[in-house]
This record gives sequence, structure tokens and C-alpha cells, in this order.
Amino acid sequence: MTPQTLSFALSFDYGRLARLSRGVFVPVILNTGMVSAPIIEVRIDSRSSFCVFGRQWADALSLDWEAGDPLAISTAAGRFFAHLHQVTIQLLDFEWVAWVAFAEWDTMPPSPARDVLGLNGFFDHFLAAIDDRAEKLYLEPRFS
Amino acid sequence: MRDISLDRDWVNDHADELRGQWVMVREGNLIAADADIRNLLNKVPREAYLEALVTYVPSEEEARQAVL
Repeated sequence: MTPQTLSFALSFDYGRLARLSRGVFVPVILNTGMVSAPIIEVRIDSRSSFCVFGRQWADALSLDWEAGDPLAISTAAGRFFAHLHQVTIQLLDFEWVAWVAFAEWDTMPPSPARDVLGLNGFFDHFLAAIDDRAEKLYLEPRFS
Repeated sequence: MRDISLDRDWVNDHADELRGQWVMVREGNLIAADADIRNLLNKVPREAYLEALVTYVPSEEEARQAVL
């Protein structure tokens, strides 16, 4: 085994956000450039192909939900539909533009209807490491 | 993005009163709460919820559930 060394621009203590629900959460603001949503707490989920948000956030951003490219998303509990829209994601000191999926349903935790940061739109923009024992998330941006 | 520690601490401290509800908090003050996220967003003018934290407080039953 060859030791590897990674460096990260910042660490975030997610313990406060996980006190009531087990998970790795980060605060995020979505905006379109014209309209901004409030700060929401989003689960980091490397199992999810896309960043997925409840439809209410598309409406809060005044997006025409049906105008986005359609996407079917399969989960262990079944399939649901979404539409892709390009938005700016603000996470702590980072801000980037990504295509995210807005689901046909509103966010209803703890069901599968959750707001998540997934592979496309998040993990393809960051090197990320989780120290769950210390409740810390380490991030290094990989914007290009 | 502003630091939400104060807001999150407030939600954690008041969780037992807010189970099963979405809450909107800013600077450690509750702005609104509702079991339905759309009702919550409709209660508050858009200008008022900018920079506010919106989060869900799970019910006791939900808090016991594991997630996939």
C-alpha cells in the first residue's frame, strides 16, 4: 500500500447540521443570477448521479420546471422524473454553475425525496473527504 | 455565505417544539414554521427569506428511521 497525501482548501464541521438527522450535510444557496433561494441544508450523496432538489426550489427560483431537459432517476424505492436546469450553487466560500435536477416532488425528508449534492454538479467539481468520526468534511475545488 | 451556526444551534435547541415542521430562521430568530414547505415559503415574502436558513426538523418517528 502506498501512502497518499491530499490537501484541501477548507474543512467544514457538519456536526451541528447532523444533530437531528444522521448524514453529511452542507449549507447551500441556489440562485439563477436573478433570483436566490434561502440557505438550505443539503445531503452529500456520492450514490446520486446528479444533484437533486425538490420542485419547490425550482418554483422559488421562478424556473419554468417543465422547460428543462427531462431526466428519469432510478432509486431503490422506484423511479421519479426530474428536469435539468442550470443554476449557481453557493456552498460556504465556493460558488459554481452546474446543471441540477429538480424533482417532480417537493422535498419530503426522510423519504427518498431529499435535496442532495451528487456526482454531476458536485463531486465533479470537488475533491472531497469525510471524517465522520470528527464530523468534518474536507473540500478542495476542482473547477476548470 | 454567512455563518449559520447561530441558526442551527437555535433549531437544535428548539427541536422538540418543532418536530415534523420546516422552519425558517435567521440570526437565531424564528421567522416562520410549517409542516408544508410550500406553505412556509408562501408565508414569507421572498425578500424576507433571503439569507435565512430553511431546514426540516424530523418527527421522532422520522428521526429513528435509517435512510438509503
